[in-house]
Amino acid sequence: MPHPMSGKAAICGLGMTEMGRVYKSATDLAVEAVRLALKDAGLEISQLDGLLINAGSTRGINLGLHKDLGLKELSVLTFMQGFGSSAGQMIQYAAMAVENGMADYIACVFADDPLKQGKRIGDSYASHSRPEAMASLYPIYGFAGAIPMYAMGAQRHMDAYGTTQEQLGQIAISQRQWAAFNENATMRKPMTMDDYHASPWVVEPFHIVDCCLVSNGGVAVIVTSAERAKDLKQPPVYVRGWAQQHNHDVGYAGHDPLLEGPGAKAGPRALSMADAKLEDITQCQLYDCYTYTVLVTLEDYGFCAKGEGGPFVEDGKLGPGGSLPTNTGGGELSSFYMWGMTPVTEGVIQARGHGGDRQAPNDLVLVTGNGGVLNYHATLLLSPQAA
Amino acid sequence: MSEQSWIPEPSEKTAPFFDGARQGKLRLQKCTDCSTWGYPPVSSCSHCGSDQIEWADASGHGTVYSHARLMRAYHPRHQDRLPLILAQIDIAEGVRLMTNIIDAEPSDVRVGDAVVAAFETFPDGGVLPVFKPA
Repeated sequence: MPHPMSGKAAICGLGMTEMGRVYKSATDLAVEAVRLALKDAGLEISQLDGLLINAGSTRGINLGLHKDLGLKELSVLTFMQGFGSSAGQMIQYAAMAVENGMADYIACVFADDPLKQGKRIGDSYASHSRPEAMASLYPIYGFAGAIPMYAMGAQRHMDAYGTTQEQLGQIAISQRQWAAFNENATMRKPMTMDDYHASPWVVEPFHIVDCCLVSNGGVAVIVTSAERAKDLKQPPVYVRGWAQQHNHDVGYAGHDPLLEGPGAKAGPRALSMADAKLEDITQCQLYDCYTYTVLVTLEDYGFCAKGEGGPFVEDGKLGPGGSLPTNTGGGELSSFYMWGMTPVTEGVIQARGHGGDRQAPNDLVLVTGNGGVLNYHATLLLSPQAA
Repeated sequence: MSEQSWIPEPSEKTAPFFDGARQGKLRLQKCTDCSTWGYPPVSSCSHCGSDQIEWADASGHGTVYSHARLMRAYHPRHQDRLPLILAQIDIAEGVRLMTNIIDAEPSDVRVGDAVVAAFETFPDGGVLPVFKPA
């Protein structure tokens, strides 16, 4: 039996701004995304009575966004921060709120504007991170940002299980193949294994193309009850299952947080809520800040045994025509980087059946969000069917 | 950038770590109740929750939990020494440190390798704990 909440809420609106080098403020992008989502759903802004807000790397939007939207009264409003898990979290809390009658239509919005004209990307990020205490040593050691930690995760996987550079590369290549079908993707030029090897190193074993893009943009989704969603413009996308898991055991020996992430615990709980099995998942939209994140997430959810992620992805099964279509819009590696909203947007497009040339079987769509260094995790199971 | 800025100004909470480094010691924090070690600054024990924390000198021995190679310099210390070996070291006392491995061929480093603490002295007298093959 599914959980009583399974399939009772639906995503009825999706708004995406132009992505990439769009030099607008995060606030303008957020406002535009919410308005696009309302239009997509066939709703008037006066019908919006809930707003959940998540700011990206520049912290460019805040609780006051409701004023920029001209919303005078709301029955649900808050600012949330769970990094890459925020998008999934917002949809979960919105689903619970509409089911409980707190609000009818809740917009969940994310926007970010790290690309500034005439400014280096590192400066945009650096101005928002002021490390203290021992963490102030990390730049001297060479540990700025998340790349070194994920690179060490990949290297530990390689040393422990024999995972190869080519296997990481195949993840990037499969996603680039999907991106060719996505007109909203930033990187659509096909990539060969030679291209992958020729991509400059950042922190070995990561080439630049093992790392997500940096994008400006805004995304909003509107969550309502399953009943209301049926009468709106778009095919409802039902939220069949969800879960979160947050792990913090990085600093002590004896734990292996780089080889197993929180998805290992969130996955079974989300499936249980939907009364579904792993085999019921027909496609994956996985948070892919790095190629390695995809590999470890596939293992954590049990698509293959721990340690076998390399051979699992090697045959291209994640790509077009493969047996486990994954990140079908190109993901954060090739389409655009909107934190957890990147997998959410593609999950909604696919669950609606609006994928066009890149449409994959959509009976049950797994969407994951990941933040920190495999610390914060949110799972969604989306479907065109309520049950 | 002046070399004096390489080691950040120690705070009250981190000064013993840097003092220890200048004396060639890997000085960390330890719970006086259950003897669990912590990477500073901790205010309570990760194992028993006690707030009775003292500073103590670790053995300096450890093994490689993982490693990677920094290929782009963004700090004066990185210049002329790429690839710089980044590592997480599990020290014998049970703490995982983010640090560098020096005096090693980057391609020779493997998970599980034995390493020992070493100390890199900057022109201004600041000292940074690092590790080298044991």
